[in-house]
Amino acid sequence: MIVINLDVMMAKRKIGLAELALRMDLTQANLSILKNGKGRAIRFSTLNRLCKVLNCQPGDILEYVEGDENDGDE
Amino acid sequence: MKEPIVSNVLRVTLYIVFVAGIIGTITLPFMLETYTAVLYDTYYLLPGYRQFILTFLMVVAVLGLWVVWELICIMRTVSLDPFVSKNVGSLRRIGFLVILISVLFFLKCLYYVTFLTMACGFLFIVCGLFAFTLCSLFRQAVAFKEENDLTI
Repeated sequence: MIVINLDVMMAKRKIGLAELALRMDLTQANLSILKNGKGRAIRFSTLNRLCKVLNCQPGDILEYVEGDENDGDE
Repeated sequence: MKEPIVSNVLRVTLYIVFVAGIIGTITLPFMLETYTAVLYDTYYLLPGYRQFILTFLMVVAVLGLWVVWELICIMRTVSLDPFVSKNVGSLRRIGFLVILISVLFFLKCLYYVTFLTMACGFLFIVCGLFAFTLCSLFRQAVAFKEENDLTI
C-alpha cells in the first residue's frame, strides 16, 4: 500500500498544517485527510503543488510498503 | 445549493399525504361505515368481513404511513447531501414495507378475492422491486461519492 509521509516532510521543512494549507490553497480538513492517510487518491495537481511548496520530489512524500492490498484497490 | 421547485412541491405533497394519512387512519372505522352505507358492497354482508377489512386496512395504512415517513426523511437530505448511507437504509426499508403490503393484499385474496385487490398486490410488488433497485443505485452512488470526497 501507498503511505503518505507528509508529516515527515512538514517537520523537515518546519511548516505547520495551517500554513501549508494556506500556501497550497487547500482547506485544513482536506490536508488533514492526506496527512492522516485517510485519502483514497491524490490528484496530480495537488501532488504538484505539494512538491512545489515543500520543495521535494513525489518519492519524498509517497512511499510503497508491503501491507493490506485491499486498501485503495477497489 | 438552491433546491428546484419540483423538490419543494414534492416535499410539501409528502407532508400533506402524511397528515392526511394519519387523519384517514384514525377515522378509518367511521369512513368504512360511510363507504358501505353509500356504496353497496356484497362482501359487507358476510359475517366477520367488517372486522377483517378494518384490521386489514389499518395495518396497510400504518405500513403506508411508515413508507411516506421514510420518503420525507429522504427528501430532507436532498438540499444537503442525498448520497448517504442513511438513505440507502431508508430505501431498503421502503422496499421491505411495500413487499409486505403486497403480501397482505394477496393474503386478503385468500379470504375475499377481488380483481382490484390482486392488481394492487402485483402493483406493490413492482413498487417494492423499484425501491430495492434504487437502494442498490444509491449504495453505489454513496461509494462513488466517498471515493470522490477522499480524493484530494
